[in-house]
Amino acid sequence: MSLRIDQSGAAGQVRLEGDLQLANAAECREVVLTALQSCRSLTVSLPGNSELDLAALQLLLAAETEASRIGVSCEYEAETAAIVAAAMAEAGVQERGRRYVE
Amino acid sequence: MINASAPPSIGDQTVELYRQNFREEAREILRTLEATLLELNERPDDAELVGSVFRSMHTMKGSGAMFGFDEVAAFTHHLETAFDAVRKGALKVTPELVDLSLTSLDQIERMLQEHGGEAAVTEAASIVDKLQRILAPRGVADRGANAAPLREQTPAVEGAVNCWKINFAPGPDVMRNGTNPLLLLRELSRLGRLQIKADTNGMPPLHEMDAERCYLRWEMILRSSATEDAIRDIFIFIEDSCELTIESLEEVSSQAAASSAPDAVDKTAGADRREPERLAATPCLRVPAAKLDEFVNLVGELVTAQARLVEIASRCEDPEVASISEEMERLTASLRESSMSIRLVPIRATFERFRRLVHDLARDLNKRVELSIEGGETELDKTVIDQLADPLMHLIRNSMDHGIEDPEARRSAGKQPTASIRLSARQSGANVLIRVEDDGRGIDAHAVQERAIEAGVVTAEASLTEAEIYSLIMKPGFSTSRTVTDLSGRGVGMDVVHQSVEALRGSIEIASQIGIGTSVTLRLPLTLAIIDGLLVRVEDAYFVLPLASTLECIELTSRDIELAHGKKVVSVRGEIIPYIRLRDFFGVQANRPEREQIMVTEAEGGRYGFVVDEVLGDHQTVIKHLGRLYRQVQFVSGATILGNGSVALILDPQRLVYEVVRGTTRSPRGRPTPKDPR
Repeated sequence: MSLRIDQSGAAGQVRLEGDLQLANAAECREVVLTALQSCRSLTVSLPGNSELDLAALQLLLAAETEASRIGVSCEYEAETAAIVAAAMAEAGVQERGRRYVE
Repeated sequence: MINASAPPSIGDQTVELYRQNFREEAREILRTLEATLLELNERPDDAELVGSVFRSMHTMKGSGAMFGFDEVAAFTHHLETAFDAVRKGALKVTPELVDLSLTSLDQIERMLQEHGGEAAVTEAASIVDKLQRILAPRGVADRGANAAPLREQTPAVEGAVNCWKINFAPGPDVMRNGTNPLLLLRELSRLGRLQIKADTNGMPPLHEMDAERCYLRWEMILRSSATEDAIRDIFIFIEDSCELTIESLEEVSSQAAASSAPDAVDKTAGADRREPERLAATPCLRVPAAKLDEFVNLVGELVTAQARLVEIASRCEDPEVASISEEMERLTASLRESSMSIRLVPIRATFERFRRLVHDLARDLNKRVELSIEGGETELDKTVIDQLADPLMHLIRNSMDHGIEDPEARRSAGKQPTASIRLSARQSGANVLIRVEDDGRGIDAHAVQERAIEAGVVTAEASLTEAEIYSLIMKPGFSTSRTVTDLSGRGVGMDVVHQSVEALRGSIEIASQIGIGTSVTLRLPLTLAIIDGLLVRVEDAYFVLPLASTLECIELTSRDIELAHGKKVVSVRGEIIPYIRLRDFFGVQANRPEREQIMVTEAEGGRYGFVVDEVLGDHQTVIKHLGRLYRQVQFVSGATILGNGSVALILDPQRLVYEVVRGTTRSPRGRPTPKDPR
């Protein structure tokens, strides 16, 4: 999979392109951590994923918590948002006031 | 901008690894299922067996779907439906159902190989069609008829609706072991209305988290008519590595309570489902055979290197070196024994596979045969076991086709209509004896000899013993059968048996009595890698004799030779023992010493001596094969490298005696003689 951070000023976009799954979860974590440390606001997109496994879901949950802790605003790109919402609902994870980019 | 491209193959490799693991596990399930179905054929009313078949099929379906073998999952669903109907008493176990289920197992095996092509699809459809014809008149609905996705396939259990409280905390390594817990939750949601709440309190901060570890746990309420067993089955693969509690909160049944009472089958099913759990709790590792081979090779190299250390230590006379050399010798011997024992596998699984062959052949040939197995716990080297399946199959086919009579013929001969084939194994020294016995019509030695004369294999004047006549049936292309059937008669089978056993450095003995039966015994070496040997010397040539076949070592003096009046025999405590002088046999050109030594061994059904110049002592012998050039030299089973770098031939006493007794060896000049290279 291809992992990319596009940064423009304080805003950044994390693109985790390809199948986000267990085999590359550790690498994705590093990319997300780097992005959170260098941006004030972040948009996450996961093109190429139709559903998420638990590894991906936990990663996003931890990233949301971390963003909230350090005051980074975190959003999901529209298509990704639907997939994330479906996975969170299936896993019974409570809605945390996630924000989505229209 | 950061642009980190992960190699795409890692994920694929992981997935393929899980799929390969599933294939191996599925094959084990198929083997268990085959054995259980054959037992069920004998005891069709055994509820425990029915429960076991059902659970195996459920496992196959569930894990098939989990690892992307959707075809396998959809196909197995039909079988599961049938045996669910049997569990509930809606369907009887008949030979037809058992046969169809056995054919289905073959089909699943083909699906696992993934190269069945269109023929496999047609075959699968035909089996499903037959299954539905069995099910339809009994009013059993098979909802997976069109290989629909698993969501539709899960058969809802009719009955009372219960409210279940389920707490589920997967083990931390659940994902590393190939399970995505979300899929289990999804499967659970298919059983009814599921309310689910994840507990995320265990989640560490992002910078501390291990991305492959599971941190979530769940509390769920499920309103479903499914039984506790059905709910538990969803977690069957990870049950031993997770926390799982299932409690019934209330019963909100709309149906009569009486109808929901679990029947006896389900009770036993629940009880014996814990059996595999106990087995799973036994610590076991699945190791690829290639890794094991590499390990044994390395141990072999270590044994050779250690022999050099002993040699050097004995020359340098340093007590410290001697002490460490002894310690190394002890450790290497333990390591060698341990590595060999890892390779030893009980023969039972190989034997059990023939139940199916006997069942199918008996049906096709209209014969009644009972297969009994003895000594299944006997262990043999994995390499030997792997190469045994073919020869045993040919022996059983021959026995079923030629040996066993049909029930009428047996009745007329005053025998039980059901014939018996006995497969047995037992250890005998460094060998394992594997025997296939039947109580059929026996081999007509006269007919074999006539056919051999007709075929020009022997001359009409040849005077042959019974054993020699029986050995003729192992000649390539030789068959006493006038008709060629699907099973045998082409004269290929026994030749295959002969070649396979020869390749394993084993031998075959055939015994038969007209009207009583035939027994074929395969004598095979226990292991093909490292043996305990006895190192001996003749002039500057070294030989190893397997320690297991050696009885004792005695001295041969000029006086003993005188007393024998030119005959090569010696009297040992009153017993006359013939001997073979290796010096003469290998054509060693030098005068023999004043005192020689005789190694007395058990070979060819008697005691024989091998005369050598000196017995040097026991030796851990790593067998190195001599290569194709020496394949015909049967009395040498390989060579080994000694600590001083010289090569010693490993002798096969059985073969050596055979060659000398039969006088089949010609000039000794052609025989290999190892010499000290220095």
